[in-house]
Amino acid sequence: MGMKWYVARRVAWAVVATWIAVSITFVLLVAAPNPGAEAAAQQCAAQGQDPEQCRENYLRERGLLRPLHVQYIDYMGGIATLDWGYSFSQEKPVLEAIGDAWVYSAQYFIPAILLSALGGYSIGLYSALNRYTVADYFGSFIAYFGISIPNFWFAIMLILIVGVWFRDAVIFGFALEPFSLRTFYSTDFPVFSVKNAKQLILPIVVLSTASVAGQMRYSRTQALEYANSDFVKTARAKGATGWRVLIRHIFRVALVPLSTILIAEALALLFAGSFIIEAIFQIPGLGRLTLDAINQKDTPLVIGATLIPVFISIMGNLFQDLAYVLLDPRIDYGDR
Amino acid sequence: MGVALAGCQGETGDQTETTSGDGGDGGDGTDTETETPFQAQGPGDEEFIAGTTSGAQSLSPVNISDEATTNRLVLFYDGGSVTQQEGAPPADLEFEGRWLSEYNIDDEFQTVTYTVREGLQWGADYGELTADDYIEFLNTIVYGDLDKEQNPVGYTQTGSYILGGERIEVEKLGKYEFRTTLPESRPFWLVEDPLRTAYILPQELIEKYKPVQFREVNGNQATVVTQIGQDEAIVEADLVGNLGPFTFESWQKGQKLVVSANEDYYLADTDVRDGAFSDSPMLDSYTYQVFDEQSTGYSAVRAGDITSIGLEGRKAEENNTDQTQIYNSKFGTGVFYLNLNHRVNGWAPIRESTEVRQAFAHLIDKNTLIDQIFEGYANPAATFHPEWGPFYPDDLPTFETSVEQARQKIMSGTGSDYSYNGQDQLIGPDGEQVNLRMVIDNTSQTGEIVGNYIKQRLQQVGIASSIEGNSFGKILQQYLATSVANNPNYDGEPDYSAGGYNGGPPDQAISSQPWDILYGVGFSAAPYSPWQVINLVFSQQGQFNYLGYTTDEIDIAEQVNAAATASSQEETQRLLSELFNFLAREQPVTWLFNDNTLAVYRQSVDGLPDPVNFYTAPNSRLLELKTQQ
Repeated sequence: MGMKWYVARRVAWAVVATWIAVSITFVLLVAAPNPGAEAAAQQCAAQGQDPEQCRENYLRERGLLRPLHVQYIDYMGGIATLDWGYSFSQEKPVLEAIGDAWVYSAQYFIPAILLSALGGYSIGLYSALNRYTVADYFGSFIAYFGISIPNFWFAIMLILIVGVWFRDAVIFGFALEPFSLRTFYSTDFPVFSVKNAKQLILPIVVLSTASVAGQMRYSRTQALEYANSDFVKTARAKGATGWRVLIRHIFRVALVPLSTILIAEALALLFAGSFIIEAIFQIPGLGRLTLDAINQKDTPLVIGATLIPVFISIMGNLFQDLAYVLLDPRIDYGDR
Repeated sequence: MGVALAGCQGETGDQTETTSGDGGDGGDGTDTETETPFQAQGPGDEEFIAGTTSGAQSLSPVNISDEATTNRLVLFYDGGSVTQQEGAPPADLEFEGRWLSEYNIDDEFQTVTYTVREGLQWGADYGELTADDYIEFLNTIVYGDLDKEQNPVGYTQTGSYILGGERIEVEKLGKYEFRTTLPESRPFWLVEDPLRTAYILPQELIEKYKPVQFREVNGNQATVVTQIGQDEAIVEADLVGNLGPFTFESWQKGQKLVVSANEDYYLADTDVRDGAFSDSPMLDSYTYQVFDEQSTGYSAVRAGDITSIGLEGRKAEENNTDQTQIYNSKFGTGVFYLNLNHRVNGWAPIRESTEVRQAFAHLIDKNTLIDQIFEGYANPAATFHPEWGPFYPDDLPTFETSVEQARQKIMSGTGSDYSYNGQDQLIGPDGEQVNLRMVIDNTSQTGEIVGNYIKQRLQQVGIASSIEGNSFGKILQQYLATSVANNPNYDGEPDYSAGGYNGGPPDQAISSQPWDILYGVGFSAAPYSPWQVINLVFSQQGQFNYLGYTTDEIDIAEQVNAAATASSQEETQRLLSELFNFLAREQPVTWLFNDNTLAVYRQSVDGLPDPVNFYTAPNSRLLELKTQQ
């Protein structure tokens, strides 16, 4: 009962927090100047027409001439009833625009998260148990490289090397052309096809590199913290193998703080990484959709696009808290 | 003939309105051609995939608000064409038939007779294109908002059809013939005529939206133009019929537009240019691929993933490889300049002294900037007209680059309130060193280069300066928008107001933030019809005279109007040459350079025109281009 009540309260809080975030977004959009209306007014002025009339038409067609409270109630009511309005920048309903875009984001985002979690934890744990070896130094190098290198620069360099240079490079008589990859994302290929998988390699590599570094550093630190603890020594004394000690004893307790990092890293990727990755690789995903919507002040689409990461982050934190209970039996929300 | 306020960078992704020719490096244009067999390396060597940095907003022929949309529409609709013979003077233009097979203007330049080509068919079952379609378009779409309180039609190009405050009258002469009468003489009307290039609509389609009024579209009240934009015949360009070289395949907004060859294209069966278009279009398909990040576009063309993309001068050399060819034309339309604030919140000597403004011209070595910014792919500008333009004067005043001469003119222009101290600093009336506030558009590297260079040069004449970087939007808002409300020393209504960017006389309306020099905002010089842009930017009550520039020496608005409405082309040329000469001497802004039109193409592209004049750009010769398709 206690756990259910806790979850119910957290879900209710998620709804309230989402409402607050959407309301703040709405206020910010209202306060910001509207470049589209200004452009329409300028165009009319240049044609000797009444710029005010053109500005008014532009705003009217987007429902922005209505009183603010009417707009606000309309948007909130629409969100509650799953009618998220019409996107003027995309010329389609908001839900359809988001529905079309998320597929493209998911194609690189999900593999990047999995790769960074698996890769980061694996390298981190291995480094921790093999300190001051070549493998440890190599792992640390990967970590610091990933953290230090800016995503946008790394992406551009990879495109230049793998996309351009490999096309006609020959090393020791060996042509690199078969290893070259497309320089930008094409929407022509089916989602589950080799060509699509190949063109996603560079975005996934760029996105996961930074994240791998974070996961690796934290998992190494956590593993080192527990490697010499009493319960690990006890396990070893009882004859547990190195592998069993690592997975069953060290990794399990380390997962509590690491899961916190995982959610934070995933959200960082979603919020920041996707804008950069999608712009550079020309992927028509949620990041570019949101950026276009903000640039064009497409209020319904901005709100819709804001809603998703806000909701994901709140629910993600909830699942993370619930995961603690499974990972560490000492944690209990029953009395909260 | 609209004029758009724009950043000086221009749209590098498309090659619209630009042409071919010599240029760059202060020398000849270089059309690279390969003589060895070319091996296709990627999809861009087979299909034609044009990279661009901006996507179209719409495919509606009546809702064109940007250059990118115009570029897409020419794939579907032909409009009319103008050509120029190789070696002909820049002003010597000829009509070349498209939808309109004949175009005749009388000797007084006031009556135009149009003949619509027979056999043109709209798609979506709208029948044959006839004179009625043109007339209905004019009367309902173009003139629909006149005499109405609100603008229920919402067509934004109407101003091009109003001359001297009066509309162009139209009358039908036959099924395929109609005539327009201009309220005043327009010697360069062939270039200006908006009807020649208009993307009209079928009469029957327009009828569906009568009476013109706001109607609900997607839950809000929308204009007729927006309503038409939602019409099923418009959304996927079903109107094309046999009217354009390509038909619609797919469009992913902000990503790419794919079109395929129109097998029924009418031009293939005509004798236009002696049957040169009999195989048109040569391409099976054409794709516009948008790139948010231009460097990805450059990589894509070098790898062969796309066929072409517009090029910045400073990127020309690194993109000139064995696999690519550079198209370089000096016939660019952009004139870059330093904006100078003539309003009372700017440095007083700028508005008070021509000599001080001329000192800036002496101070700046344009060729240094051209080398640093465009790697030589630009030409120095001396006035608001490119050197290749039809109205360029023969005897422009020049200002030799010289710190000494700049210093002398500053001294004689600023008067006794200013003097140099022992450290060669220019001391103002307040006893402090003169410190100018410079604003740059910091979204481009060009702005930073210009800003730093100007700062260094000002130091050499003892003037300190500060540089503030801002986005284009903020520059518009904080520095170009002017109003009396920003002026604490002025109370009351302004003597005149010409809109948000010229809210009144320079001593009354000012910007919210003070500035002296600004780089990053400019206009196309519109070389063939410059009257409108000159009027907007430099006349006392021009709507974009945010500079606050005024002069007693010449009535710019009157001179420009006289040039546009002269009784002969020679008279237009004389009046404009005089005006450009004045602007060169007066230096209301500091003229910097005209950029070349540059694009990089794959070596697999055949048919790139020689850049011999403004009207031979690759996009205007699209029907002649081929890949290895």
